[in-house]
Amino acid sequence: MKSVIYYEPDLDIQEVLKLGVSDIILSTTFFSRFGKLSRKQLNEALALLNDVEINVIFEWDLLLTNEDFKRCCLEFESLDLDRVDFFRALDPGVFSYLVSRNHKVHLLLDSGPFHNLQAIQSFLELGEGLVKRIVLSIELDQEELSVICDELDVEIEYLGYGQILLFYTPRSLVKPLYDAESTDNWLEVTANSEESPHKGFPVIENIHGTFMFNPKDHYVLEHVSSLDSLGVSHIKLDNRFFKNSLLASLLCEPEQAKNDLPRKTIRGFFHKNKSDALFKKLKNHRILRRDKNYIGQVIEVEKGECVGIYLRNTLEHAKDMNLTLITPEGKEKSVVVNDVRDANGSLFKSGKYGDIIFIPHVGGVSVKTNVYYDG
Amino acid sequence: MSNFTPELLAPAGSLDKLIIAVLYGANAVYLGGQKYGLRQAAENFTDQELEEGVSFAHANGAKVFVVLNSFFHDKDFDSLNIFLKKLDDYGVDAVIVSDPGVIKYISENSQLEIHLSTQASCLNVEAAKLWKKLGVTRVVLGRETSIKDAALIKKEAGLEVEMFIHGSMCMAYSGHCVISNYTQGRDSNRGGCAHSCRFEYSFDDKDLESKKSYFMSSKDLEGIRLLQDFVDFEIDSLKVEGRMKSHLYAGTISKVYREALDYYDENGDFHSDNMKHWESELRKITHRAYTQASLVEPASDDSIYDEREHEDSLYTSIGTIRDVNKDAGFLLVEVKSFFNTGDTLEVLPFKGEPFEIVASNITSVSGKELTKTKPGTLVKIPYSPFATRWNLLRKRNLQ
Repeated sequence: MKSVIYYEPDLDIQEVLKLGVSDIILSTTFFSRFGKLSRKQLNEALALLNDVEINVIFEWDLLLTNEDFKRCCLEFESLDLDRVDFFRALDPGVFSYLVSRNHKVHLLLDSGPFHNLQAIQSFLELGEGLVKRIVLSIELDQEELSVICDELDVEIEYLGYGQILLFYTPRSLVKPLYDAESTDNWLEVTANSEESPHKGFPVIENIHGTFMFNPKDHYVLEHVSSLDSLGVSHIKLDNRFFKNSLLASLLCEPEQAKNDLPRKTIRGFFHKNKSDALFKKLKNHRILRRDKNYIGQVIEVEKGECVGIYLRNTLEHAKDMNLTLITPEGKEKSVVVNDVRDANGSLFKSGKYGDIIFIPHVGGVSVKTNVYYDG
Repeated sequence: MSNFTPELLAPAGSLDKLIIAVLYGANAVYLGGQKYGLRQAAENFTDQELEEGVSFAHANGAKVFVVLNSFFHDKDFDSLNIFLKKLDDYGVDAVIVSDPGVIKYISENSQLEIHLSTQASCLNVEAAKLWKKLGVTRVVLGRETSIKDAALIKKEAGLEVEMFIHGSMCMAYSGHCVISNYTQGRDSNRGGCAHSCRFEYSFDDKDLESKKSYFMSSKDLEGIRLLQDFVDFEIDSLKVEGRMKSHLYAGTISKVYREALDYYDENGDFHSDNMKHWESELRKITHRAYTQASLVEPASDDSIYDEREHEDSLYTSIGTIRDVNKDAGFLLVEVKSFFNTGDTLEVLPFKGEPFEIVASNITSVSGKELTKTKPGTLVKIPYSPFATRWNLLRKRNLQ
């Protein structure tokens, strides 16, 4: 398994090479969401890495409106990036721009929403052979990872240790919290939601917007051998958010290193992603209609008098009907109805969608009861 | 004066809301089936309702777009083909999709027209060109896009562009918020958003110790004052958010924007006293404070809605007229909020000014006299010659 880390000015490159790190990412203030390298520092880094046997990756992970995109392109074209081996993109526009300039690309899906094989294959086709690596979403579980890795013929990277980005907006949300105006381009706060027990969300605001992270970081370094067997080729350590002195232990003794980390960690969805399992509980499926033989829904119950049914289907013979009524609680009632009337009390013979009919009162039936025609 | 008038695209959270939106003037509606959308808690449409909805909309000259805009995991593709076949059979006008894998699948398995959902956060020309290569014919642009940039994207990418003009907004780039995934175990990008951005937050930092803020909550978008720009820049479709919102919302929004666009068709501008009237009508539905967000300039600090969610509004939605019987002299009302005998109610006609009626007499369906109504019931109130079925009723709140 190869390792990927970020370049930091205080990083000892020789030590990094000894640790077997294969790739180093250049993360700049202008092109990266959390980059801190100035243009000068970028040039220094490129010069320093010139003779070093390591893959150099330039990160461009912003989402960009058209105006910002044009500004970025101008800046990008003014840089001397000959030493860079790969460029990584999140925005499909940036991806397309890099491909059109014949750059080798890493597609960033780690914090993005694309999680399926077909989506990735679409990008590979659009990448015209220039997509060399996919940085997969950390929302994929190991079963999904396995399927995707099996099918793809490019390098696969996965986040081994780093913060989990929950929220990304271009708007400034932290500066307005302060009474005094701030000229700071990098603000950090820790936010606690009233939605208990969610506390300790790290929040960053910088020139690219506002970002909120999970209170616990993503850590799967102890599962490197499993990831390796699944087909993951590279593991990333996001050392922009922890001390570089931890790198050696993280890479060599990941089980023990866990005890020295600045924040608690989770495996996230690595074992199983069940984030759609609760959906069936979000609504009462009993009040959903089954289409077969559906007539409509009870819209009125006047005790001892009548039940009003809102027709949501054509009713051709409103006489001597066998009806099944299914209440929102799931109780079923079967009734024979001989007397069907309209709102004026006149006999009702047939009707269409939108009409309201009234049948004699049926005990135990409430509004939102679904009505089915049984003959 | 331009001959161009944008499409008005309204939300349809249910078949009733679809009917209301179309009758009040929407050119097109968008809706979700039981799966594949981003509103798992909504009623949504069964297959038969979808067929009925398409049939009703087409009979009234409106189009129907179906959302398939969740971001799929591989297992979510199961049975998609069956649903696509039904959409093809029903004559759905387009599907709204976020995921390139789903776009690929639809292109290979159906003839359906594909619109790119705002969830894909398409923000620039290069991105739009890429989505076009994948087969989309229209992009619903990210809400961070300005009208001016939208026009550029339309011109340079050669695609139809659709922009949100009204309604609630995500604070985050759409598709790039997964708070619910980690805090609630519900995938926000598959319909499980728990709206964590609307909660109040406190801060641990020294300078903000006593501070509490809804700092991630966005004001609602309102673009009515920018209609001239939307027309001048030939934005193809103006979309209103709100599939989860009320019948009164669906009706009011469709009516107000329809009247404004019709006024433009007749007069060539929007500069009239009517603008104040349209704005005042939009303030009568439940809403957060309004902002133009990034339609002109990037959204600034004042786009933050630093308040708890609440239901203050000038008017209360009373219900829907479900039947009109001139001979027997009554309107049959499906009651949403209670009202009393003697209350003055406003009827929102499909076209023209709202007018007042007095509920001088209220009876149950069987004819029993009532002094007040209960939500979730049907009642009869006196006939009005100008009211028709599906008209909405509202009542001014005491201030």
